[in-house]
Amino acid sequence: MSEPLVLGIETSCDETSVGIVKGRKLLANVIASSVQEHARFGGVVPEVASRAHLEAMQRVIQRALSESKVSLKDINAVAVTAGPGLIGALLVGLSAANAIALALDKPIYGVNHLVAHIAVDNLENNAKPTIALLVSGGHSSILQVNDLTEDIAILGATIDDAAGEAFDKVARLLGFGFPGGPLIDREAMNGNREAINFPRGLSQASDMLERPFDLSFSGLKTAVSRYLVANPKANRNDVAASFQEAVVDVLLNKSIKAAIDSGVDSLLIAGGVAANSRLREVAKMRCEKSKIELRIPPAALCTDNGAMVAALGSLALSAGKPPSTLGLTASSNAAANLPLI
Amino acid sequence: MNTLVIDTSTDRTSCALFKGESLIYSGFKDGATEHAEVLPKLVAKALNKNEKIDRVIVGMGPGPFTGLRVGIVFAQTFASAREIPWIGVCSLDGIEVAADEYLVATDARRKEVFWARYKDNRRVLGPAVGTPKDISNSEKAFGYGFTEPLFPSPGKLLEAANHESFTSPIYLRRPDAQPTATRQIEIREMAIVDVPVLVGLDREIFTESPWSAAQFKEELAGAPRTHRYLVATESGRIVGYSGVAIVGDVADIHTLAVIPSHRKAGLASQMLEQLEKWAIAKGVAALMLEMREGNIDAQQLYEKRGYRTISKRKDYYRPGMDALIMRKEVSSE
Repeated sequence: MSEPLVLGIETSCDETSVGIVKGRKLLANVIASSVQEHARFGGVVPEVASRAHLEAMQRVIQRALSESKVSLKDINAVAVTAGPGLIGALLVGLSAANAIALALDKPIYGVNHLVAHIAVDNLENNAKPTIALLVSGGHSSILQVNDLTEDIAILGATIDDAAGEAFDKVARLLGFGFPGGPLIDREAMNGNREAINFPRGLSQASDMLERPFDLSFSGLKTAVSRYLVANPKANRNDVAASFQEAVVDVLLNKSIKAAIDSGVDSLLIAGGVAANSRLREVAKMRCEKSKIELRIPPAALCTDNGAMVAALGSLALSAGKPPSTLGLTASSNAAANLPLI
Repeated sequence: MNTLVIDTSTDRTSCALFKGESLIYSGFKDGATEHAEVLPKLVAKALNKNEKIDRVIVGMGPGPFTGLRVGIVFAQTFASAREIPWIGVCSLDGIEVAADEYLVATDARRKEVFWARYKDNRRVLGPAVGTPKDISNSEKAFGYGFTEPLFPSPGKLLEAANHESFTSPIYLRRPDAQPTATRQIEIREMAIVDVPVLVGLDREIFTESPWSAAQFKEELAGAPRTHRYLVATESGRIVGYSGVAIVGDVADIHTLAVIPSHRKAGLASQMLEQLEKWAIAKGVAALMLEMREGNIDAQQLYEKRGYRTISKRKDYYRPGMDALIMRKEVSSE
């Protein structure tokens, strides 16, 4: 099938989203977020998220259909995030997808949320072998992607906090609120990023030999916390900017090294943290300098969305991959090297 | 009229297909964490019997949330995709009991049950959640917590659709989550290790006459007999501090400070209240303090807490900066 019409459903965390693609063309991407309901709890509460998914699901599906001017009967397949993610949340999307598949006799593709983040680039660019830096609230890893539907190797990953988690925790220390990423991004613009030299995790010479592509952020978070206790009148914008710089530095240092060492010369950055303006700025500079082709999806497609799920489903269908079995299981901790579930 | 009937409000996933009122398919499987995998397979079997469905009935709970949502979202989405109506019913209404008047209950976890009371085929009380002990000690109670567990049956769910329908899930319990206060501030006793930070803060807040490290340490040396000093912290960072010293039968508030970003949130009052309680318990007759005249916020704070200006000391802090002496009698509280 050359240009399959695929509907993708994403409910792995606190965004209920449905995206519709035709081949590699994006027709609709509708997102309902419960992030405001979680802000007063300081983080995502699974039961609150799951209730919100149920409440939003029908209208998000309808809105995506009307925006793309197609009807459910026309689709060639339904794709859905089967993992990783919060199990109660995942099951809402999965059950909705199973219902569509059964009601209209369509194949269902259960996809990996992490791989979908990378696959969204396919809506803009041809797929090609690449190093991928995947950074979000729940995940941080460096991958070698040879084929999005079947050949992905994990080169390294975080040994403690995800990069996005570090942003959330530091934002809390600074009194900025939740979610931390966009708030730190904004406040850092008015701060001096060279004010404080915070530690770059797992970047000592011995680390770069033994585990060059692994990441660690909890030492950085502790360093920020200690700094604030010792310097209570510190300028919060400076701390935000310096913290952000440390994260950006280590993420790009390691992922560009992976691109060079592997001879792949191509870097794709994906996941919620890829929306960070400083990361995008420095990535562009350093990749140009190292002559590495850089791809980063538009910020709106970096955070969780259904379009990325549909994109991966579309790729799978076009590649002739068999659909998932009916009643496929959610996999709350699926690893990135398992694209189809 | 072909009706698909679904319920996932208990450990049992069930699916049935009726042609009119005749049952042409019924299937179920027990398994508390299997609803999402089992339901599609049962529905596939039902569709094999007859593809044509005219409406969907689904149990809206009450029931353990995760499993409950599987059935509801499936039913709603299936109905929407087929462009047919769906009807939600109370799952407890679907449990058959051979009696005219009874209470029926299902497992709500945490040693509680979801329950409802019925008389002459109508629900008269509930649905609600509670412990079996609190609900009933009559022998007319059935189901989990009373007799063997009971499950909704397709025929009774079908019938329930003729009585009362629900458009939202029946959760009956709020999600388990406590909102954090917008600021989680802890107040604890001041310690020697805090002194360097406090010296820095004092320099910023009391620019004219900040305390030295030695002065802080001297005050702390008087604790707990005659002195009490507190710090307020947020995520380990000091955002306020205060201290009182007793001489004779009078307690002197020696310092009270909150960093600018955390003012106007009642923190100063909180610290002051704790210190006053301590001093009063020690038997003082009055509390006194000096404050810089012109500090309106501080004056309002103290006046609200019952302090009155009793005298003024000219040029106390430096030429041009006078002190107000304020006092509060303990017995006037």
